[in-house]
Amino acid sequence: MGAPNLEPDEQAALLALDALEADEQADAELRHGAFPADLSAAVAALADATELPPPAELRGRVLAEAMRRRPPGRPANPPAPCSPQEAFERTVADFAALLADLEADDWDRTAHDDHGTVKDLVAHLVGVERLSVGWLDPEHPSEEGVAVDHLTATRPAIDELHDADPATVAARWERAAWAVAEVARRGDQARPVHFHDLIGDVDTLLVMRTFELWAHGMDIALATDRPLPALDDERMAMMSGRLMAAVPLALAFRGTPVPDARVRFVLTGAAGGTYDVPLGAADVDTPFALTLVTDAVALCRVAARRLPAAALPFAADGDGALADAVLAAVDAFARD
Amino acid sequence: MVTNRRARRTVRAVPNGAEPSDASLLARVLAGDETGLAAVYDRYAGLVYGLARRVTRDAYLAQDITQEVFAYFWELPDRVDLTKGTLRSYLAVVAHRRAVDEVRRSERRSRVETTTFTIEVTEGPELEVVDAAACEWRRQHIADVLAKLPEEQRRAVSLAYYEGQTYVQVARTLGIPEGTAKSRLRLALGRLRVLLGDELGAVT
Repeated sequence: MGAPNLEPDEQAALLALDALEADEQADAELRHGAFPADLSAAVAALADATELPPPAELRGRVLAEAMRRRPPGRPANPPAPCSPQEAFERTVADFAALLADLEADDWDRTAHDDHGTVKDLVAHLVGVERLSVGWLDPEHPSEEGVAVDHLTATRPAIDELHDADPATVAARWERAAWAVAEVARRGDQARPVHFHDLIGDVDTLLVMRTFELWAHGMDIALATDRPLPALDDERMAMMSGRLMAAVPLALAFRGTPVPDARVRFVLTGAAGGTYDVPLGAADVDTPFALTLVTDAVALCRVAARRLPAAALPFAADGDGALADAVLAAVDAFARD
Repeated sequence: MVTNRRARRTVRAVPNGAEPSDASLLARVLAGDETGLAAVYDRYAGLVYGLARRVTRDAYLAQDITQEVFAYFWELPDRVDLTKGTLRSYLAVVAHRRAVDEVRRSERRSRVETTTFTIEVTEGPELEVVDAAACEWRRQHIADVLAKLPEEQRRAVSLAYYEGQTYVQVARTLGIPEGTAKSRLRLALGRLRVLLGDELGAVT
């Protein structure tokens, strides 16, 4: 089995074994009472003959000792923390690299139902970045664009860049995106930020912008026959964690009635984790109505509206109707 | 994006009550879901405890080993690679190694205290009464497979696996040269691998 966290002695022993020829390895292992790796599966099958129920009280002892060594809820190998600001800036850099990689005819390919070609999609993003700067500016907060539909609000930028060449559109977008990053750093990070029909703070907007750039990166990749962009685990863990925190709000935003119950989300994969989400008036003592197990990245794609919830592989233990309602609501804050 | 976005809120229903796969349980453990560990325990505690008890012949040591195996699994679940073998095989290998370590420690203590060294020879795996039908089937299946080995190979395997003996000790117990003990063990395990065939998942 893979062994990334070996003790020094164990590492040394394995290195010594590796230095031996196959026959010598087998001899060395048998000499010390272990079994050669190539025969270990056959050896393990012998354990079937000795199966015996353990004392009932052992279960609690075992689980308690395990939780003492690694607290529940914490992934085995959590990615390094990543702030929304860092995530947004890394995603801007990724998106700029994607645009730089496009061929001339890629820009005319259809990338989005509403935004049209790749070029028009990037022009839409120029509009989004300009709106974001206005929303974020702590000294001159703009009401322009607030409560305006996401698509309609960026129409002026798309019209303005209609005759521009792709390089100009890409440069305008990148300049506007870095202006967002710059203005986001200024002022009180907890200040309320109004955008479209939502109210959040600076981090909320940066997380949503990260989701949007990732989503449009997928659109462009699909349109131009490129591999889907994969964000690093740090970003995905931050985004999935924020998504989990927003689940009650998403259900409320959609007007979905919920029970006073807790939902456990077990998000699998390198960016995964275990999240206990209280709904309604539930608290930490409220029983779980549902445990939903699914891949962290796939769930984020659902939240970004780049994977239909119907296509999401998941396992639900508990209230199946609640599982459907939750999954139907996770994309509540996505704005194409 | 060119997709049918109108279909995005159609959520497929997933039937409840299906037994989660080992891969699903491992993913849950990796994510820090303690109920995933509880499910793994419920599925494999009998395997780990029974093996530890058989090798150590000590119920209390077997409980300690069982605790250690599952706590270790929870602490370092990324050591399990299901592309190379099953979770069942992995836990059995870890349990066996821990149990053999305990036997060795006990032997050292015994030598120091009494300067005598005796090992009880058995003819095969202990036939414990296990209530679960699946356990009974597996136990009988392995017993049937072991019965197909030549007697001298079966004894060598029993001593090495169920008693935790090295091949040097097997040779001493059976009164045969070390080289003969070693070759019997390898022949027996190779034959077992053939007899068990596709049932096996490799574990390294």
